[in-house]
Amino acid sequence: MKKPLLHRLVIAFFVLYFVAVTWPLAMWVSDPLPLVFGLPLPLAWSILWILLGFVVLLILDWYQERS
Amino acid sequence: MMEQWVVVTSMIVAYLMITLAIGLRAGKGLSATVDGYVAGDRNFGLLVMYFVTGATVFSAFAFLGGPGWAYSRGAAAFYILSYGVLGMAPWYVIGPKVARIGRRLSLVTQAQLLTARFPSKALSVSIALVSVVALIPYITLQMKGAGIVIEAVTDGHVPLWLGALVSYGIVLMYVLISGVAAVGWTNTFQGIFMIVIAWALGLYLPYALHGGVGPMFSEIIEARPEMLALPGLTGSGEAWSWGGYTSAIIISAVGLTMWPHIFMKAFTARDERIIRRTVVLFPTFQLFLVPVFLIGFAGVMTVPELERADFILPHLILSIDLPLIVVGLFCAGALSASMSTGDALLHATASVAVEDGIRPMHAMSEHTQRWLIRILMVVAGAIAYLFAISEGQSLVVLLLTSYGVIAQLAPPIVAALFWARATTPGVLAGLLAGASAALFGFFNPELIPFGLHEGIIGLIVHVPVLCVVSWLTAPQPSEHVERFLNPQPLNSG
Repeated sequence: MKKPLLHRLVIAFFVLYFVAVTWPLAMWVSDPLPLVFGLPLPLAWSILWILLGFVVLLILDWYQERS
Repeated sequence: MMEQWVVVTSMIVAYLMITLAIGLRAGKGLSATVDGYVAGDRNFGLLVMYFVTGATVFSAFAFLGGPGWAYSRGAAAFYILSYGVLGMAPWYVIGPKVARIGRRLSLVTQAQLLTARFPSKALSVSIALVSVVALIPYITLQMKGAGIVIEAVTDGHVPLWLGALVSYGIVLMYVLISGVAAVGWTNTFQGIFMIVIAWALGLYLPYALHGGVGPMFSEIIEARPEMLALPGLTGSGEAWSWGGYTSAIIISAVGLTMWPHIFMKAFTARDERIIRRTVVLFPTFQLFLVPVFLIGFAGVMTVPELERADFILPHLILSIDLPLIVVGLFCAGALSASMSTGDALLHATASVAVEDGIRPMHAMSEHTQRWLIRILMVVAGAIAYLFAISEGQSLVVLLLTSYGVIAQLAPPIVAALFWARATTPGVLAGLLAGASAALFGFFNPELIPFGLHEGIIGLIVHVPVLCVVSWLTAPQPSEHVERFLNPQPLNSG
């Protein structure tokens, strides 16, 4: 993958991350049910985005180091 | 038999002595220069940078305020979980760039970077002023956190004022002697400590009080479903607005790396790769908040009405029959959270005041600078201490207020590193307008629509003023701008 394209994808991901955890998109996950692994949905949703952010940063760094 | 509070106090003293020993040892081998005292001779490796960043970001506000919010405001606390990675990700690009410029131009503070691009004594002094105004409440919060913990676990035998005084007396001792190197190595020790304690308690308390994490949340949903629905509750128990929740995430994400004590660590890293790796690993530290929230939720059904929500964690620890060693370890974990941020804050406040507030006006030797930083550290500590023993606000509210001020440093930093057309008058006008708007919003919250954070109002005014005044004034010479937009590594001439 070309570096500028990767950078654009990473920026797009973090924009999506921001939209996903704030109003209005976060309203879709505002209800505590269903529980996900015993956690209320809004909490599980926040954790999911942290984990996705970690993976995206890992991929970015891997490409950065390779180039 | 020895009383419980005496045993716990002995453990606190032992913990403080170990921290002091690490802090004092850290300064050995550093050069006797401002570079050594403020930037650790630019020699922090990945391990220290990881813990400095993580432990500095997660402070007493996370360890006590986090459970306090989960306990009293429910899902509102999730905003703290949402902004960390969003706020840290841009540092992957900004941090290495700042470090590179810092090495080339021998910079050690944020304002030095800005005034290198936008030469102005007024700008330097304004940034020093904005930083100190925001940092003092942040230090207050840490001291208060330390005092709360010690008062609670010693059953009031060591009152808040004495606990805060002793723990921050120790912090002052090691930072005064070893500078930022002490911050680095004590944060590494304290970071490990707080992660282990948070996970252990966060999994144990829901199990001990409710039979597990899932059953705990099921109980809360049945009795108080509004607690776990976004955007949670306000401090008085009504539904929080989406505007308040969303703007708390935005302002905290924008402000996160703009805090001088975090920003300045870019000047301490051994190389740029270490800064990037620290950003990549940051989400692993961010997950430390999950057990912290579980602790707060564990109290919702078991502690009916606690007058001060920030006391929920020590209250739970003392209300169930835990071995004394666990109580002592919890206390050390909470003190770690407070002190690992407080030391960096004290160091940054005094460094910024001297390097950016005083030195641009009065030339002074390196020796004088280092001594002045030390003196101002004591002064800043004393002011924050007076607030800590008299201030009645919740820990998280104090922090959110400071974020509104510090976020006003983001537009000038972005303009300095990425916008060729930005000018000194534009940046000065933007900063003045943004800070004034944020302060106006703070004192007139009834005028702000949708429950937005006053810092957002500041940014909405700040950015257009910066852009318009920059376009209306003469551009900077391109060779000057190029040094900031495309900085070259030191060895490339």
